[in-house]
Amino acid sequence: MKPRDPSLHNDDNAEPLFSADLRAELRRELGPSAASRARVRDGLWSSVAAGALSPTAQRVDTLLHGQTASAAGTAGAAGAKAATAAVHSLTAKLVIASVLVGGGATAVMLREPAHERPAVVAPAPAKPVVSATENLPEASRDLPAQPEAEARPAHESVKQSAATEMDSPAVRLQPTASNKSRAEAPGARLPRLRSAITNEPRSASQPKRSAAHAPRSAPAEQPQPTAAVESPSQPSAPGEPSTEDNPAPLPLSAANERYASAPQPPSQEPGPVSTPAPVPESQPTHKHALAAEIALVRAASEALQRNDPQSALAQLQRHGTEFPSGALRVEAAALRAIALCAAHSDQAAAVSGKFLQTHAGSPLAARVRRACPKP
Amino acid sequence: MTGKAQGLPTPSLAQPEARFTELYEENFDFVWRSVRMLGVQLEAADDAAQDVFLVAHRRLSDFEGRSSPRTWLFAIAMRVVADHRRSRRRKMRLLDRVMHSEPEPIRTPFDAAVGSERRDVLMSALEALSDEQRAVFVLADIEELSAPEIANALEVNLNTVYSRLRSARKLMTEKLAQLTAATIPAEPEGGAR
Repeated sequence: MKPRDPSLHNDDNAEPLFSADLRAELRRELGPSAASRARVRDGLWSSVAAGALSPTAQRVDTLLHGQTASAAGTAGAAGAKAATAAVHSLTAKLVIASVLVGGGATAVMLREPAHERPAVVAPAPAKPVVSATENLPEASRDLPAQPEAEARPAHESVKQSAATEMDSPAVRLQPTASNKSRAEAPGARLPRLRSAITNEPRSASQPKRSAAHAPRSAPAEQPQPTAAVESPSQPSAPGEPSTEDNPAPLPLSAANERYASAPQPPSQEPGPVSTPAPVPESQPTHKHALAAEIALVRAASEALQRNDPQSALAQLQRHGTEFPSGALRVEAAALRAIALCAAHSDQAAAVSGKFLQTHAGSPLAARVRRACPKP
Repeated sequence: MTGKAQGLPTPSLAQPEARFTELYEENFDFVWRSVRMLGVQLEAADDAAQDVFLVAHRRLSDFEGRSSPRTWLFAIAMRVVADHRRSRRRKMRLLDRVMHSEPEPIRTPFDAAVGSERRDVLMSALEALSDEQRAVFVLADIEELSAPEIANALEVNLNTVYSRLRSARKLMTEKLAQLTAATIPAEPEGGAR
């Protein structure tokens, strides 16, 4: 297979350099391996479920968010201009009014925190991140709107990314594809690079920053508890629930196998449930089951960010019942341990100890250790 | 509204997570290849691809089908790659390592046996291009996107796409000739012998 193919040496710069067949071959050759697919899929769903973003994803998300916001702002300004011009036209008054309303609404939304926004349905740029919570019952969706639509100054995002890189627990909670692979496959190539980012020890005093960490798409500002919604893997939050129980054979991808743990009894100790999680009626397709699973784990993570371990435990209990062999059972187990510790439950030590014993190599172990310090 | 047959959203559109899953399944290979060809090292490609989809998941509501999923994902991939490169450089400095000094691991025996040489030559040649040229070249001459689609993905005008593509092809032609001459023993001039 020497690259002697004439198409590689096409001198006509106006024509494709490679023949159609060669392009197809190159796409195949340059594509991901099956292992890469499994690894990324595994890491991605975990991260999505927890709403965690790696530092890079966080920075890019913030950047894109800024662009979206400014584009919306421009559109709003344009609408306002057009309206002004039309003001002199009596016949256009109605149209103008509607344009002004639309533009004004947009502008307002860009500046005000989500929870203060008027309930306008107009051209708001601010549709919060797509979230699995849409599948959840009202209780889970009642969270305040997220401030995602707010434009963040560049310097803020820079600051935030730096902070995130250093301590975002979320980042650690959801191992990246390579992290996970490293955890499971010792031989897996992976890099010190990612580990440098993900394994960074966090500072002990994280609780305060939890809000800041909770990285939603826009980590820069998240004063409210709501912000937590998107950044599931909370920051150094002291406690997050986890459950070791629910071992189950794995489902989604082979990559998950590594997480398979010895079967254990179903989790008990759901604490008072303030927020009953919605039940995905049916689990028809694999996709829907996964989406429902993600929603439950994410809801639990968000509850933890709100310092509501009982709700988190309820969501996790539900996850254990509905998806005993779910793709995210290890994540759920870790969250349960963290939640129990946060709730100062009697079972905390036993459950966290069991998790750490069973999943000593899991990227989530560090987080459980932080949340459940040994007496 | 009449709507049933035409207007109602399909079940998949009504469910963001399902929609995202579809997006992922259909475009993962494309995204992975793109981050590689945009310059992410093999060992970091999985992470970069994952980052692209994490951002896509967050931003799915911004997408709204205004462009093709591929061009949208590619635009995200370019930003992710730029960030990865910065991070890599920073870490390489910290580790006192030189960029690109690390040989890329062979993925599988199959990879090693088939096409790896051509792939490696191509990847090396891509290094000769600027980021802008590389993006256009990859989209046009590997992924087969049309010029208008590329213009949309890169947010540049059509003429810019064409001019970058021409210069990229010129450079690639030169670089490929150079690399293949170096790796392939020259055929005896004049045929036999």
